[in-house]
Amino acid sequence: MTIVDLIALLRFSLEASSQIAGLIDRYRGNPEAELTPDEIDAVRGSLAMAEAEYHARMAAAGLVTQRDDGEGEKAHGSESVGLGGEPA
Amino acid sequence: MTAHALKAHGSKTHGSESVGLMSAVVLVCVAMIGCAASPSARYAQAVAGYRIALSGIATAAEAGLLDQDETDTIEAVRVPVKLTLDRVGGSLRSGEAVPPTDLEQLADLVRALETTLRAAETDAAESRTEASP
Repeated sequence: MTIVDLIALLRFSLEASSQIAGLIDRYRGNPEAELTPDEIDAVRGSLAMAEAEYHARMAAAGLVTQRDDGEGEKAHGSESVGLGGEPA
Repeated sequence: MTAHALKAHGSKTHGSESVGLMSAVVLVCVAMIGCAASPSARYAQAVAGYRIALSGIATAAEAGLLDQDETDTIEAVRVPVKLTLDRVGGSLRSGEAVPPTDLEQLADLVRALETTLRAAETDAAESRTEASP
């Protein structure tokens, strides 16, 4: 394992720990609580941002991913692929 | 660094690290969906678990632990999870009742993602073994 791998694992671990801690704080007091519309919007927004970052990181690594909007994420030197594998 | 160079750098030499990484990712996903009671809470936890899974997969890719075939296999099960999350999130936002079957389907899809990631880990480990003299 190289120092680059170690840094990547550390980054991942910190991010995961942060998210888990946030959820525990949110639901520790009342696990039956429903989210408000604003909170649902915030969750959906975080999902969209995470998805965009994922596609960008995978493309930067030279890997083609599928977009749920029907558009393929074009990696360096490769064809764009839409959902289901059809050429975009 | 190109994808090819990344793969040559890490794919067949760090398989064991990817095994631990992805297992942790998926265990988090499954555990988080199961520990909330209300539909919106389960949705939020599923989203959080999915975000962690995305981060783990991208980290593995950046470390050169995934090739395109493995990525395609993972994508085939990741996309249905994302679509289900979108559907459940849309229902919650519009005030519609979320059928329990949707949440059960989400859990099933995440379990399918777990199975796929573990298969990818096994392939990486076997490739590493075959590459060893």
